[in-house]
Amino acid sequence: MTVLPVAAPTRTGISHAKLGTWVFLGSEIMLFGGLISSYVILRSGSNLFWVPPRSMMGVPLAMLNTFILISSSVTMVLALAAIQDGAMARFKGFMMCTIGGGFGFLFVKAYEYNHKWHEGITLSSNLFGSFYYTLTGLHVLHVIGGIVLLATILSQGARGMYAKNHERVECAGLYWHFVDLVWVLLFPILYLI
Amino acid sequence: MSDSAHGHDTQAEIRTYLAIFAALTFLTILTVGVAYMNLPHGPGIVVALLIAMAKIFLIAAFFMHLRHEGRLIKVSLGVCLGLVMILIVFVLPDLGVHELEVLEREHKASHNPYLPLQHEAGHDESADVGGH
Repeated sequence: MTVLPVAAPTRTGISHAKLGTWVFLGSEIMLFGGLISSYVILRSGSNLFWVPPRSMMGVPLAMLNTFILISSSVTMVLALAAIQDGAMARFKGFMMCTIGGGFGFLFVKAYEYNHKWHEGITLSSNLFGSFYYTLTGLHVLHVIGGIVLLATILSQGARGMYAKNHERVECAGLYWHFVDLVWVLLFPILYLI
Repeated sequence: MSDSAHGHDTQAEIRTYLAIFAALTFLTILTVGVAYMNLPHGPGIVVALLIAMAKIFLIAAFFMHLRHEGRLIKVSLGVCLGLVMILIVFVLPDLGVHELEVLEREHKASHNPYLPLQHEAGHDESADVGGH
Protein backbone atom coordinates (compact mmCIF):
# COMPACT_ATOMS: atom_id res chain seq x y z
CA MET A 1 0.00 0.00 0.00
CA THR A 2 1.37 3.38 -1.02
CA VAL A 3 1.90 5.84 1.80
CA LEU A 4 1.00 9.30 0.58
CA PRO A 5 3.91 11.70 1.02
CA VAL A 6 3.55 15.03 2.77
CA ALA A 7 2.09 17.54 0.34
CA ALA A 8 4.48 20.07 -1.16
CA PRO A 9 3.98 23.67 -0.05
CA THR A 10 1.86 25.80 -2.36
CA ARG A 11 2.07 29.45 -3.35
CA THR A 12 -1.31 30.22 -1.79
CA GLY A 13 -0.48 28.43 1.44
CA ILE A 14 -3.57 26.29 0.93
CA SER A 15 -3.16 22.69 -0.18
CA HIS A 16 -4.39 21.90 -3.67
CA ALA A 17 -6.62 19.12 -2.37
CA LYS A 18 -8.32 21.34 0.16
CA LEU A 19 -8.81 24.23 -2.25
CA GLY A 20 -10.20 21.85 -4.85
CA THR A 21 -12.56 20.37 -2.30
CA TRP A 22 -13.86 23.75 -1.25
CA VAL A 23 -14.39 24.79 -4.89
CA PHE A 24 -16.30 21.54 -5.41
CA LEU A 25 -18.39 22.30 -2.33
CA GLY A 26 -19.04 25.72 -3.83
CA SER A 27 -20.53 24.03 -6.87
CA GLU A 28 -22.64 21.89 -4.57
CA ILE A 29 -23.87 25.03 -2.83
CA MET A 30 -25.04 26.29 -6.22
CA LEU A 31 -26.73 22.96 -6.95
CA PHE A 32 -28.72 22.80 -3.74
CA GLY A 33 -29.07 26.57 -3.64
CA GLY A 34 -30.81 26.60 -7.00
CA LEU A 35 -33.35 24.00 -5.92
CA ILE A 36 -33.91 25.49 -2.48
CA SER A 37 -34.34 28.99 -3.90
CA SER A 38 -36.87 27.61 -6.40
CA TYR A 39 -38.80 26.10 -3.53
CA VAL A 40 -38.68 29.35 -1.56
CA ILE A 41 -39.87 31.39 -4.54
CA LEU A 42 -42.72 29.08 -5.50
CA ARG A 43 -43.77 28.56 -1.91
CA SER A 44 -43.78 32.29 -1.23
CA GLY A 45 -45.42 33.13 -4.53
CA SER A 46 -48.82 31.73 -3.82
CA ASN A 47 -51.05 31.29 -0.81
CA LEU A 48 -52.41 28.21 -2.54
CA PHE A 49 -49.12 26.29 -2.37
CA TRP A 50 -50.29 23.25 -0.41
CA VAL A 51 -48.00 22.14 2.40
CA PRO A 52 -48.76 18.97 4.40
CA PRO A 53 -49.51 19.36 8.11
CA ARG A 54 -46.69 18.48 10.48
CA SER A 55 -48.55 15.37 11.61
CA MET A 56 -48.30 14.03 8.08
CA MET A 57 -44.65 15.00 7.67
CA GLY A 58 -43.34 12.92 10.56
CA VAL A 59 -41.26 15.53 12.34
CA PRO A 60 -39.93 13.19 15.09
CA LEU A 61 -38.36 10.86 12.51
CA ALA A 62 -36.82 13.79 10.64
CA MET A 63 -35.48 15.12 13.93
CA LEU A 64 -33.94 11.70 14.60
CA ASN A 65 -32.34 11.83 11.16
CA THR A 66 -30.94 15.27 11.92
CA PHE A 67 -29.45 13.95 15.14
CA ILE A 68 -27.98 10.94 13.31
CA LEU A 69 -26.26 13.12 10.75
CA ILE A 70 -24.95 15.57 13.34
CA SER A 71 -23.56 12.64 15.34
CA SER A 72 -21.90 11.24 12.24
CA SER A 73 -20.32 14.64 11.62
CA VAL A 74 -18.88 14.54 15.14
CA THR A 75 -17.50 11.03 14.66
CA MET A 76 -16.01 12.11 11.33
CA VAL A 77 -14.10 15.00 12.87
CA LEU A 78 -13.01 12.73 15.74
CA ALA A 79 -11.76 10.21 13.16
CA LEU A 80 -9.68 12.97 11.58
CA ALA A 81 -8.25 13.92 14.98
CA ALA A 82 -7.47 10.26 15.60
CA ILE A 83 -5.51 9.76 12.39
CA GLN A 84 -3.68 13.02 12.96
CA ASP A 85 -2.55 11.51 16.27
CA GLY A 86 -1.68 8.22 14.64
CA ALA A 87 -4.36 6.38 16.65
CA MET A 88 -5.40 3.81 14.06
CA ALA A 89 -7.90 1.92 16.23
CA ARG A 90 -9.73 5.11 17.10
CA PHE A 91 -9.66 6.21 13.47
CA LYS A 92 -11.22 2.94 12.30
CA GLY A 93 -13.83 2.99 15.06
CA PHE A 94 -14.95 6.54 14.41
CA MET A 95 -14.97 6.05 10.64
CA MET A 96 -17.18 2.98 11.05
CA CYS A 97 -19.50 4.99 13.29
CA THR A 98 -19.66 7.71 10.64
CA ILE A 99 -20.49 5.20 7.92
CA GLY A 100 -23.02 3.59 10.23
CA GLY A 101 -24.64 6.97 10.75
CA GLY A 102 -24.95 7.34 6.98
CA PHE A 103 -26.66 3.97 6.71
CA GLY A 104 -28.92 4.84 9.63
CA PHE A 105 -29.98 8.02 7.86
CA LEU A 106 -30.74 6.08 4.68
CA PHE A 107 -32.77 3.50 6.58
CA VAL A 108 -34.93 6.15 8.25
CA LYS A 109 -35.31 7.98 4.94
CA ALA A 110 -36.47 4.79 3.20
CA TYR A 111 -39.13 4.30 5.87
CA GLU A 112 -40.19 7.94 5.54
CA TYR A 113 -40.47 7.75 1.76
CA ASN A 114 -42.56 4.60 1.94
CA HIS A 115 -44.82 6.13 4.59
CA LYS A 116 -45.31 9.40 2.75
CA TRP A 117 -45.96 7.66 -0.57
CA HIS A 118 -48.76 5.70 1.02
CA GLU A 119 -50.10 8.85 2.61
CA GLY A 120 -50.46 10.39 -0.86
CA ILE A 121 -47.41 12.62 -0.98
CA THR A 122 -45.77 11.38 -4.17
CA LEU A 123 -43.43 12.83 -6.75
CA SER A 124 -46.35 13.92 -8.92
CA SER A 125 -49.12 14.45 -6.36
CA ASN A 126 -48.48 18.17 -6.00
CA LEU A 127 -45.72 20.74 -6.12
CA PHE A 128 -44.68 20.11 -2.54
CA GLY A 129 -44.27 16.40 -3.28
CA SER A 130 -42.10 17.17 -6.31
CA PHE A 131 -39.87 19.44 -4.31
CA TYR A 132 -39.72 17.14 -1.32
CA TYR A 133 -38.59 14.08 -3.23
CA THR A 134 -36.26 16.04 -5.52
CA LEU A 135 -34.53 17.87 -2.69
CA THR A 136 -34.29 14.97 -0.27
CA GLY A 137 -33.63 12.49 -3.08
CA LEU A 138 -30.68 14.53 -4.29
CA HIS A 139 -29.46 14.68 -0.70
CA VAL A 140 -29.86 10.91 -0.36
CA LEU A 141 -27.72 10.43 -3.47
CA HIS A 142 -25.06 12.60 -1.86
CA VAL A 143 -25.24 10.51 1.34
CA ILE A 144 -24.78 7.32 -0.68
CA GLY A 145 -21.82 8.83 -2.50
CA GLY A 146 -20.42 9.96 0.84
CA ILE A 147 -20.70 6.45 2.27
CA VAL A 148 -18.76 5.04 -0.70
CA LEU A 149 -16.12 7.74 -0.25
CA LEU A 150 -15.80 7.17 3.50
CA ALA A 151 -15.58 3.40 3.04
CA THR A 152 -12.72 3.96 0.60
CA ILE A 153 -10.99 6.31 3.04
CA LEU A 154 -11.43 3.78 5.85
CA SER A 155 -10.03 0.97 3.74
CA GLN A 156 -7.03 2.97 2.57
CA GLY A 157 -6.44 4.55 5.96
CA ALA A 158 -6.51 1.18 7.71
CA ARG A 159 -3.73 0.01 5.40
CA GLY A 160 -1.54 2.97 6.29
CA MET A 161 -1.95 5.19 3.23
CA TYR A 162 -2.53 8.31 5.35
CA ALA A 163 0.24 7.77 7.87
CA LYS A 164 2.09 10.91 6.73
CA ASN A 165 -0.50 12.91 4.80
CA HIS A 166 -4.05 13.18 6.21
CA GLU A 167 -5.40 15.54 3.57
CA ARG A 168 -7.70 13.03 1.91
CA VAL A 169 -9.30 12.22 5.25
CA GLU A 170 -9.83 15.92 5.87
CA CYS A 171 -11.27 16.46 2.40
CA ALA A 172 -13.63 13.50 2.79
CA GLY A 173 -14.65 14.99 6.11
CA LEU A 174 -15.38 18.33 4.45
CA TYR A 175 -17.73 16.59 2.02
CA TRP A 176 -19.49 14.71 4.80
CA HIS A 177 -19.94 17.85 6.90
CA PHE A 178 -21.41 19.57 3.85
CA VAL A 179 -23.92 16.73 3.44
CA ASP A 180 -24.88 17.25 7.09
CA LEU A 181 -25.06 20.99 6.57
CA VAL A 182 -27.49 20.64 3.67
CA TRP A 183 -29.79 18.47 5.78
CA VAL A 184 -29.64 21.01 8.62
CA LEU A 185 -31.13 23.50 6.13
CA LEU A 186 -33.58 21.11 4.45
CA PHE A 187 -35.07 19.89 7.74
CA PRO A 188 -36.67 23.17 8.83
CA ILE A 189 -37.71 24.38 5.39
CA LEU A 190 -39.42 21.12 4.41
CA TYR A 191 -40.70 19.85 7.76
CA LEU A 192 -41.20 22.81 10.04
CA ILE A 193 -41.88 26.03 8.15
CA MET B 1 -3.27 23.71 9.96
CA SER B 2 -4.47 20.97 12.18
CA ASP B 3 -1.55 18.61 11.60
CA SER B 4 -0.29 17.01 14.77
CA ALA B 5 3.21 17.89 13.62
CA HIS B 6 2.29 21.48 14.41
CA GLY B 7 1.66 20.52 18.03
CA HIS B 8 -2.08 21.07 18.22
CA ASP B 9 -3.79 20.06 21.44
CA THR B 10 -5.93 17.07 20.47
CA GLN B 11 -7.67 16.82 23.81
CA ALA B 12 -8.73 20.46 23.66
CA GLU B 13 -9.98 19.97 20.11
CA ILE B 14 -12.01 16.94 21.13
CA ARG B 15 -13.56 18.87 23.99
CA THR B 16 -14.46 21.62 21.54
CA TYR B 17 -16.04 19.13 19.13
CA LEU B 18 -18.13 17.60 21.90
CA ALA B 19 -19.23 21.05 23.07
CA ILE B 20 -20.28 21.93 19.53
CA PHE B 21 -22.14 18.62 19.33
CA ALA B 22 -24.05 19.54 22.48
CA ALA B 23 -24.83 22.97 21.05
CA LEU B 24 -26.07 21.46 17.77
CA THR B 25 -28.27 18.98 19.64
CA PHE B 26 -29.75 21.80 21.71
CA LEU B 27 -30.37 23.94 18.62
CA THR B 28 -32.07 21.01 16.88
CA ILE B 29 -34.44 20.56 19.81
CA LEU B 30 -34.97 24.32 19.92
CA THR B 31 -35.84 24.38 16.21
CA VAL B 32 -38.57 21.80 16.69
CA GLY B 33 -39.78 23.38 19.92
CA VAL B 34 -40.13 26.80 18.32
CA ALA B 35 -42.00 25.28 15.37
CA TYR B 36 -44.57 23.74 17.72
CA MET B 37 -45.07 27.07 19.44
CA ASN B 38 -47.05 28.09 16.34
CA LEU B 39 -45.62 31.56 16.08
CA PRO B 40 -47.07 33.92 13.45
CA HIS B 41 -45.95 32.93 9.96
CA GLY B 42 -43.32 35.62 9.34
CA PRO B 43 -41.56 35.55 12.73
CA GLY B 44 -41.74 31.76 12.72
CA ILE B 45 -39.81 31.58 9.46
CA VAL B 46 -37.24 34.12 10.65
CA VAL B 47 -36.61 32.26 13.92
CA ALA B 48 -36.35 28.87 12.19
CA LEU B 49 -33.89 30.18 9.62
CA LEU B 50 -31.82 32.01 12.23
CA ILE B 51 -31.44 28.79 14.23
CA ALA B 52 -30.54 26.92 11.01
CA MET B 53 -27.93 29.59 10.20
CA ALA B 54 -26.46 29.23 13.69
CA LYS B 55 -26.13 25.47 13.22
CA ILE B 56 -24.60 25.92 9.78
CA PHE B 57 -22.10 28.39 11.20
CA LEU B 58 -21.07 25.99 13.97
CA ILE B 59 -20.60 23.09 11.55
CA ALA B 60 -18.70 25.20 9.02
CA ALA B 61 -16.51 27.03 11.53
CA PHE B 62 -15.60 24.15 13.84
CA PHE B 63 -16.12 20.84 12.07
CA MET B 64 -15.00 22.07 8.65
CA HIS B 65 -12.30 24.25 10.27
CA LEU B 66 -13.35 27.18 8.14
CA ARG B 67 -12.30 29.65 10.82
CA HIS B 68 -8.69 28.57 10.29
CA GLU B 69 -8.78 28.56 6.52
CA GLY B 70 -7.13 31.06 4.24
CA ARG B 71 -8.84 34.05 2.70
CA LEU B 72 -8.98 32.47 -0.76
CA ILE B 73 -11.37 29.79 0.46
CA LYS B 74 -13.50 32.21 2.43
CA VAL B 75 -13.79 34.60 -0.52
CA SER B 76 -14.71 31.74 -2.87
CA LEU B 77 -17.45 30.63 -0.50
CA GLY B 78 -18.64 34.18 -0.05
CA VAL B 79 -19.07 34.52 -3.81
CA CYS B 80 -21.09 31.28 -3.93
CA LEU B 81 -23.35 32.30 -1.10
CA GLY B 82 -23.84 35.74 -2.64
CA LEU B 83 -24.89 34.21 -5.94
CA VAL B 84 -27.38 31.91 -4.21
CA MET B 85 -28.82 34.82 -2.28
CA ILE B 86 -29.36 36.64 -5.59
CA LEU B 87 -31.63 33.77 -6.64
CA ILE B 88 -33.79 34.43 -3.62
CA VAL B 89 -33.44 38.07 -2.62
CA PHE B 90 -33.62 39.53 -6.13
CA VAL B 91 -36.65 37.45 -7.12
CA LEU B 92 -38.80 37.74 -4.02
CA PRO B 93 -39.73 41.43 -4.53
CA ASP B 94 -41.16 40.54 -7.94
CA LEU B 95 -43.69 38.13 -6.51
CA GLY B 96 -47.22 39.42 -6.48
CA VAL B 97 -49.12 37.39 -3.94
CA HIS B 98 -52.77 37.81 -4.78
CA GLU B 99 -55.21 36.69 -2.16
CA LEU B 100 -57.57 34.81 -4.54
CA GLU B 101 -60.15 34.66 -1.78
CA VAL B 102 -62.75 32.89 -3.83
CA LEU B 103 -60.43 30.12 -4.90
CA GLU B 104 -59.12 29.70 -1.36
CA ARG B 105 -62.64 29.32 0.01
CA GLU B 106 -63.53 26.71 -2.57
CA HIS B 107 -60.30 24.88 -2.00
CA LYS B 108 -60.87 24.71 1.75
CA ALA B 109 -64.53 23.77 1.31
CA SER B 110 -63.57 20.76 -0.79
CA HIS B 111 -61.82 19.21 2.29
CA ASN B 112 -59.49 17.41 -0.10
CA PRO B 113 -56.08 19.05 -0.44
CA TYR B 114 -55.15 16.77 -3.33
CA LEU B 115 -57.93 17.98 -5.62
CA PRO B 116 -56.58 20.24 -8.35
CA LEU B 117 -58.01 23.70 -8.14
CA GLN B 118 -61.01 24.25 -10.43
CA HIS B 119 -60.80 27.73 -11.81
CA GLU B 120 -64.10 29.52 -12.27
CA ALA B 121 -65.13 30.19 -15.87
CA GLY B 122 -64.10 33.64 -16.96
CA HIS B 123 -61.66 34.12 -14.08
CA ASP B 124 -58.70 36.04 -15.47
CA GLU B 125 -55.73 34.45 -13.74
CA SER B 126 -53.16 36.37 -15.76
CA ALA B 127 -54.09 39.52 -13.88
CA ASP B 128 -53.24 37.88 -10.55
CA VAL B 129 -49.63 36.78 -10.93
CA GLY B 130 -46.96 39.41 -10.24
CA GLY B 131 -49.40 42.19 -10.76
CA HIS B 132 -49.15 41.79 -14.55
